[in-house]
Amino acid sequence: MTVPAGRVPGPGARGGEPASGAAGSGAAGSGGGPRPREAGQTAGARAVARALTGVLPAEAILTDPARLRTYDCDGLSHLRVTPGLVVLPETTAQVRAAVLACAEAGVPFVARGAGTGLSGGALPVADGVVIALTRMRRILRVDPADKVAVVQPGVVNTEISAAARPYGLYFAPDPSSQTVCTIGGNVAENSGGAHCLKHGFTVNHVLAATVVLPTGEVVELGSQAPDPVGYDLLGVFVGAEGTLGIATEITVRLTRAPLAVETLLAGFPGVEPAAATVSAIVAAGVVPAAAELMDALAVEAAEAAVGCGYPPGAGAVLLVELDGPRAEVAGALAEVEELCRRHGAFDLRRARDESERAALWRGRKSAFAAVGRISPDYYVQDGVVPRTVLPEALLRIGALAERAGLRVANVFHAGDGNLHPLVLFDAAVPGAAEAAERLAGRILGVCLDLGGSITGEHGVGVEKMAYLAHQFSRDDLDVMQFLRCAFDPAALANPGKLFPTPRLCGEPPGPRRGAHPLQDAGLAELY
Amino acid sequence: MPLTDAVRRDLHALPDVAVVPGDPPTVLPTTVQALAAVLGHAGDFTVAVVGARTSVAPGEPWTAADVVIDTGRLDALLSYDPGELVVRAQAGMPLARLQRTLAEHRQRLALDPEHDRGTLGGVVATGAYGPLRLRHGTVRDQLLGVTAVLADGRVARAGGNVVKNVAGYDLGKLYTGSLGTLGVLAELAFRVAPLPPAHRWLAVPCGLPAAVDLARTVDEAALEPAAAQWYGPGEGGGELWLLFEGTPAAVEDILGQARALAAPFATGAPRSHAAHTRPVPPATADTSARLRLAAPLSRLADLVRHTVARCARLPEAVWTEAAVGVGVATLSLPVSLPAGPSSGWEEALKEVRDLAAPYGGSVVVDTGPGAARLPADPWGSPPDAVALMRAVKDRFDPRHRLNRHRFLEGL
Ligand SMILES: Cc1cc2nc3c(=O)[nH]c(=O)nc-3n(C[C@H](O)[C@H](O)[C@H](O)COP(=O)(O)OP(=O)(O)OC[C@H]3O[C@@H](n4cnc5c(N)ncnc54)[C@H](O)[C@@H]3O)c2cc1C
Ligand SMILES: Cc1cc2nc3c(=O)[nH]c(=O)nc-3n(C[C@H](O)[C@H](O)[C@H](O)COP(=O)(O)OP(=O)(O)OC[C@H]3O[C@@H](n4cnc5c(N)ncnc54)[C@H](O)[C@@H]3O)c2cc1C
Repeated sequence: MTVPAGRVPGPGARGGEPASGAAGSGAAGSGGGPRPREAGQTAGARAVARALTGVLPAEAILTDPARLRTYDCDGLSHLRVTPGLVVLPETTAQVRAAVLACAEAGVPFVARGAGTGLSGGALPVADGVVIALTRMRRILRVDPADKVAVVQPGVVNTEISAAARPYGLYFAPDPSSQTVCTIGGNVAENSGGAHCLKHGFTVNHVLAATVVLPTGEVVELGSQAPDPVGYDLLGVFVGAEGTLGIATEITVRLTRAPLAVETLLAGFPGVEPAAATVSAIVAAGVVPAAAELMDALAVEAAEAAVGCGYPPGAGAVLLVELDGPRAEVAGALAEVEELCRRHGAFDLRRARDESERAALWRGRKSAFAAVGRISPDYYVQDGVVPRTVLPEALLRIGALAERAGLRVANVFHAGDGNLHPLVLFDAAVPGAAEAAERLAGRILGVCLDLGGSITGEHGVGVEKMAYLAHQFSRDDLDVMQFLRCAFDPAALANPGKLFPTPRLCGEPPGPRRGAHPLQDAGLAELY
Repeated sequence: MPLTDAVRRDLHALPDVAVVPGDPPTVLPTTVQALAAVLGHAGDFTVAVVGARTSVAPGEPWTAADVVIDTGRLDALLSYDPGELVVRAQAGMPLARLQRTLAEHRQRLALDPEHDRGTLGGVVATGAYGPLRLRHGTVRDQLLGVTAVLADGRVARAGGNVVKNVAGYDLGKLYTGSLGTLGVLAELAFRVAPLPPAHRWLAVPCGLPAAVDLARTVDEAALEPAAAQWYGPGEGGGELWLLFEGTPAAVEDILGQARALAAPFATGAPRSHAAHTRPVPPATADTSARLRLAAPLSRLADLVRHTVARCARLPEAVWTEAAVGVGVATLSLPVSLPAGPSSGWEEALKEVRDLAAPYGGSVVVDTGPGAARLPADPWGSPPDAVALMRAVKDRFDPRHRLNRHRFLEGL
């Protein structure tokens, strides 16, 4: 008998064992024994396609290799894996049918929204199934009295705010990719944005989700009302990177649009005084809606790309936004201006209207893409350090970059210590891509050294699996996988992501059950 | 199964663990390792976890367990950097003590449950909140990281000590509100908030339905109150208390606007004051049964009205506290509650739960003078995902040794 430890093929792995299936469409928690080995993984995808024929409309099942290839990567585009099958469901029932077919055939599946993820979360599993939710784009309900909206997972982030705007409401999480990324992706990644400093992340704004579990069961997590009874499974589903199931309907909380918004931009001689200003603002008891920082190289790139007209000669540019009741914002603005001046800001600009506000934000919003203008290639890193050590983090990143002979542009959410170092390189130079990746990795080491995290918003995906084991101990990760095993005993939902070492789930333990036979035989540990 | 003498001796012999003999014995570990050693003991005994014991939790009483673990001596402050707005402490620290430390730096944990005598672990395990929830959310929104000791003695962290972090599963969410059935919370990291320089309440006399409308009007005017609590007997005459926080000038300005908005809803003259106290129920909170109601904003007043009508023989003896901007309400019922199978309790509760179910609402009985006085089922019908919840419990605590039957459906 084979012990299917590590049976989850890694991304791009060839000829691995087929994942062993869940026992039919059993209830959550029912574990399946290992299934007989199938001929090859393509057979699995084919079996799923066959099972879905007549269940899903023909045009919702993609098998043509050329079309499959268009799903071979997400925003982490140097990793590519062509899936065995892509399905495009339009309803929860269709998603369920697809997941059930996968569960029955023991074939892994990967949910996909807009594919803007930056950590390879939506990277297909070789010969597995991609369940793309882009056709589930309906806003089902906007309820201004209860301040909620119910949407399908393929709805684009900004569409929710657009639908809520007539009522003076909006959806607060605002990732920079918000005009294209989907709410389903936001939920899976627990996405944040520039304004999460005051308004929180996706998890703080999701009330309920209809979820198709990896076993094919459909459950409602959370509730339209506060404080649903039972464990807060929604709270852990959000941010689980598609490893616990597929959200097919999502209820989000809508936020009242603030009365007043003030946007302030300041040039500083260097990053250090700018970062110190942010700490001083927070220490003064002001909670800005956003506090964004760009270093000289990032400003240079933005200038070249969009001519944003930021303070010439600035060693760093700080953008602060305040929102709230008018009197509150006016007071805070005066305080922030004063703190900027005291820390050596030399060019203070305040937006007087919406168009000026947009102009101030333009450089920041275009920064990632702009870097493409000054470098053929770049690698976007995402790490977090305690806010008060930002200057030290930047010094250390600078030193590492120098040693690697590479340039790093820094754009970051300074208010919460979330760094986005952009490592510039030229892939045409042999070894440069590897050097850039190494440098980006060392930057995460700096973040952990300083007591931070390897990711503030882009997720672990495949990109950072190895680093997760630096942030957490084996026990920490094993306990996280207890949860994974409860949701997905057969490890079919987005396998090979997040956890550096997938674990055998074994029979669901219970108070009445004895030890697993494999465990008794000393063949496997139970998790 | 009674605790064997061998296990008792072992527990006594563990380093950094104080043992109060008794049946069951109470153990007080002073380090996380010691807590892990207690749970890691191979003996086949069940465990109840207690913090400050300010609540009478549903389910079996502590005394039904073989061993009681009291977190009272796991109460150290681990790290606090005011500039970072992050604090880390052991779970047995009383909330009040943490608040005193934070206040020295003009900061606070924006969580204000009724008993600040309760421990941080108890606050997290029960998901306790107070009026500030409107502006600052619940524990769920403020807990950054957690170290838990699992039923088998394994020590496991999740989350971290920075405000932004999406690495790994955020198990802090799972432990929040789980009543200690998945693991013993040992260390907790929270985001903290600056203490606003000024705060003022505006108390507006009005009934609950008017309070809901007024809170909505204040919200539509984007005045961003920190709290909006309606207090009163039953659901009739009472007061909506609006809390505004910020700089002194801003608070005065906003209070003026709120006063103007309140006029059409008020049945008497609104009063403003700066006291930190809030109205307390006429009956002593410790001896009354509580119903916790939750509903979407637009349904709350209706659910309260029906519950008062159905569950209270003497509606005027009910004390209601409703967070009208959140959608939750607590009904304190007098101790003279009719009890026993013929009291009609079960039917009344079932009726209001059926009313709440279609919109996802709930009616939970969370504290009372003793389990015997309360209806058998504090939770109501199981949620949709109950099988999954059981699977989670089975993975985290396979022998169901922690706080057995404390949670819904015997979890
Ligand atoms: C230019 C740019 C800027 C960005 N800025 C930000 C930013 O400011 N903040 C931020 O947080 N992120 C940012 N991102 C990252 C990315 O946009 C977010 O992670 C986004 O939420 C991904 O959404 P998506 O629809 O593209 O998801 P995808 O990339 O398609 O998928 C992401 C993950 O979600 C899973 N998934 C998708 N849909 C579902 C579903 N319905 N149910 C379960 N799992 C699902 C996938 O399996 C995958 O693991 C940026 C990306 C780009 C390219
Ligand atoms: C279901 C419920 C909801 C409540 N909600 C509120 C509320 O919203 N607002 C309010 O003001 N009061 C509320 N209370 C009242 C209660 O007094 C507070 O929650 C208080 O904070 C509890 O703290 P404590 O230290 O006294 O905990 P205890 O009363 O000692 O214990 C309460 C529960 O928490 C568990 N627990 C305690 N410490 C730990 C730990 N370290 N690890 C794991 N589990 C632990 C216990 O096992 C028990 O199940 C609630 C009580 C209950 C039972």
